[in-house]
Amino acid sequence: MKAGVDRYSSVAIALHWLIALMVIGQIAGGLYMHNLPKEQAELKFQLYQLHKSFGVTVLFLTMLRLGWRLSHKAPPLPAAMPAWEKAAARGAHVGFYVLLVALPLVGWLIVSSSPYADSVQTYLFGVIHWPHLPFFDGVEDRKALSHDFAEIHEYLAFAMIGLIGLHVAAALKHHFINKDTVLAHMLPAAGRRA
Amino acid sequence: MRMILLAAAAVALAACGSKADVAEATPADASAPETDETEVSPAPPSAAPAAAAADSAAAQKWDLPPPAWNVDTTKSRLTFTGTQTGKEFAGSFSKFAATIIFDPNNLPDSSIEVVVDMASAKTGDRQRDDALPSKDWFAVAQFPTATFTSSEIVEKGANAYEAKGILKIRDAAKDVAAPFTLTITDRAVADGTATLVRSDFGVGQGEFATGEWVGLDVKVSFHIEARR
Repeated sequence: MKAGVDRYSSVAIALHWLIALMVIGQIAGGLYMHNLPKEQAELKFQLYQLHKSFGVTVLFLTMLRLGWRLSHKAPPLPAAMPAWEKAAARGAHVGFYVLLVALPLVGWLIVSSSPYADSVQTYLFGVIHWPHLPFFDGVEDRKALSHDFAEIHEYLAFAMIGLIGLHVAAALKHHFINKDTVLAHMLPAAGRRA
Repeated sequence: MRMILLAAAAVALAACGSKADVAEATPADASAPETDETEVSPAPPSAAPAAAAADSAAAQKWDLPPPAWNVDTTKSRLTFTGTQTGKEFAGSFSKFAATIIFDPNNLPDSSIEVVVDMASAKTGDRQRDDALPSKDWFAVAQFPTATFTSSEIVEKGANAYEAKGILKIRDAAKDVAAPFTLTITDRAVADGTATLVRSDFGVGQGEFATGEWVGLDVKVSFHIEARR
């Protein structure tokens, strides 16, 4: 296969792996911080601040990626792929975009509706002030509402984990079983099949 | 996140009295002439405390009201330390004013009043400093100042005193005692510390009313330098 023809653009590849790294880190970090005991309040607090920072970063990178994707063609799927597999692949990709936008947004809702919100402003990476969403001033039971958003966030995170599993399995299947170029579409030059 | 404040200040001085007017109790008496020895000001004779008067000839000198002291705001500090998620942090109030009428030989007529600008609290952390003025903490929009007003100043040993009085933070007033040391050379230097419980004053509302995230104890320290 010829590099530069049958693959995603360098920008799309860079964004894919950058976002992939962050999302996996967010999932691992999110599960870890959520289960930290109260005795480790300082670590817990700092991890939540970091989680918010990376969450907003993923949101921005996803916007960038969506903009890029809409203005640049993706390489075609192998002609030999059955139609249902093609549809499943497209569906999975759409699912990723939906989750990549929804997860940070729901996280933002959790933070903004929290009873802690007034006392804990968000500073991305300790530097850039990130405002709370303004809808929750008059809410009676902010704790309950924030908790509901947290539940949704959790479900979305588990959906993300499932989708990543499917995505990785499919990529490996294409590479090692079908022996086609689907995985190579998204690999940096060094890892591409000759 | 948050903390408290404190407030108490003190100072003293041994030299003889200038004509500070106790009744006015304003620090504006800087204009008082700096006479060195007993003077001619119209101190009301009735102001002489019985204890001092009973004290022999030397007592005559203390028949005068205690002098007012001018706090050196560039050298005086009002600081506090608290804990957030178990970790200690320090902060300070950059704006406060103290009205100090003090004579170690006339403690009954001595008084200390401190007014703290609650919006001037800074801890070197943006998140905390954003939270401090907010309604769950100092609520500075509603309660811009905290005050300490002494009711009694007692001697506790050599160069050691205790100012008892009422500390008002937000809408809560509580009796507090602030021990302090005092040395007087060409100026008076007072240092003291008091530990406050922030929940006594409603500092930290809602989710922060307990010490889960932010410790309830706040240590407040003051370093006051003043001249007559």
